[in-house]
Amino acid sequence: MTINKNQIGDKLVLTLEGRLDTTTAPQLEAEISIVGQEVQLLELSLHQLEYLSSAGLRVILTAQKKMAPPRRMVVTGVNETIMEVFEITGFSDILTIDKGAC
Amino acid sequence: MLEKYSLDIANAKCNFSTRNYAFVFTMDYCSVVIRVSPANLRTREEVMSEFMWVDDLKRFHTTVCQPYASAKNKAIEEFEVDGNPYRATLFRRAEGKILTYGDWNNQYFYNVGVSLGKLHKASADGYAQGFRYRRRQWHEKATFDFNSFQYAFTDEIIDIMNETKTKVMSMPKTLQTFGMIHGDYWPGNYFVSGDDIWVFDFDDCGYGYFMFDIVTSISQWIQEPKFMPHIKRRDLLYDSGMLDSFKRGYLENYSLPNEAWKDLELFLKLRYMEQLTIMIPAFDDRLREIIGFDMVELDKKIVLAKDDFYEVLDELAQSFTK
Repeated sequence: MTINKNQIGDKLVLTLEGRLDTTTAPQLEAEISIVGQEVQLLELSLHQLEYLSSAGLRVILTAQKKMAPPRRMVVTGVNETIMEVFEITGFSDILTIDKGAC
Repeated sequence: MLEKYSLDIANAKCNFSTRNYAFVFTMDYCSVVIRVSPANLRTREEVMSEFMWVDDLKRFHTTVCQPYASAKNKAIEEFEVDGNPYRATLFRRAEGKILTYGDWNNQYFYNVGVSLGKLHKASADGYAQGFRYRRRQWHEKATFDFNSFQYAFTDEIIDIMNETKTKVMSMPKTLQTFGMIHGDYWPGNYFVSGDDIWVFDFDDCGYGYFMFDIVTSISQWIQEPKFMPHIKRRDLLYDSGMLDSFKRGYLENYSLPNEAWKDLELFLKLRYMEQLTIMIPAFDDRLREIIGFDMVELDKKIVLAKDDFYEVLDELAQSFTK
């Protein structure tokens, strides 16, 4: 999996490409762990994500917790395959998903 | 379909259960199983939920048979044969073998307890984290729709079964006692390799009381008439170390409250009732010969005996000592 980072002001965009699974989840976890206090909005851009396992879901959950209000996290670029995973695990109710940004 | 999994049918061994086809592929480092099911058996979201739940369990329980996506990164592959739709899912194959009564001992019961405790711990953890799978609740399963079996049972049997079901349904559902369960955790659904219990066949997973998984194994152990037939079944459960060993292994991994263990016998009765509804359409002379007794008749007697069901099991065991 490739993670591209782009920070503009207090917004950080992490673009994930490839598979987010047991093998690659620690990679994202490491990125999340170094997100600083100056970041007020974290965007996870998933339009190039091909596969999402439960290990990946747990890391996304960690990110969500880290970005608790008043900070924010938004998931964008969710394709049909990834959306199905969010829906059948109940994550579509937990996460803020910007469906228009696919 | 096999191309999507990069597998060759020439290396496959096919098994057919009552509902699914299982193609086993043996490879150098591990073996895998492709489960192929008619699409009308479960909805796509149910199968996806099963996949994701087992995938999550694997993080907490190393000997759960994990699912794998296809080479096209799909959790489920869908295809048609002669116009009939099917779904395929790939799982790791369990290591070891099913242990039969001749090999059962307290160490085995302890190991099964460890395995199930880990599974329920992972389930409770997942729920606490926010995982909500699209699987049915236990009472929505066809095997618990007792009224639909009126063609096979007397009104008395149906009434007793509904009464038991109502009692269980009225029990509180707490985070500690209720969650995603395996749903068919009987000794035929786990292999034993040394002290490891390799769990598979999560086809019946759904929301239910953790105690239900617990009694699914126990009901089989005490029912088996060839296992210590000279010992009364209640004593076998409580005094021979079976329950103590199982419970020790379970509680080392998951803290199911003391209150829940008090309902063990109520759940045992419910499990025998479900066994009856499972057996009704499937039981035949061939199964009678394999098992060595008429399980449908046994389960009917157990239902009718209400709280004295141990006596029915004792009778069966005694018939085997003779």
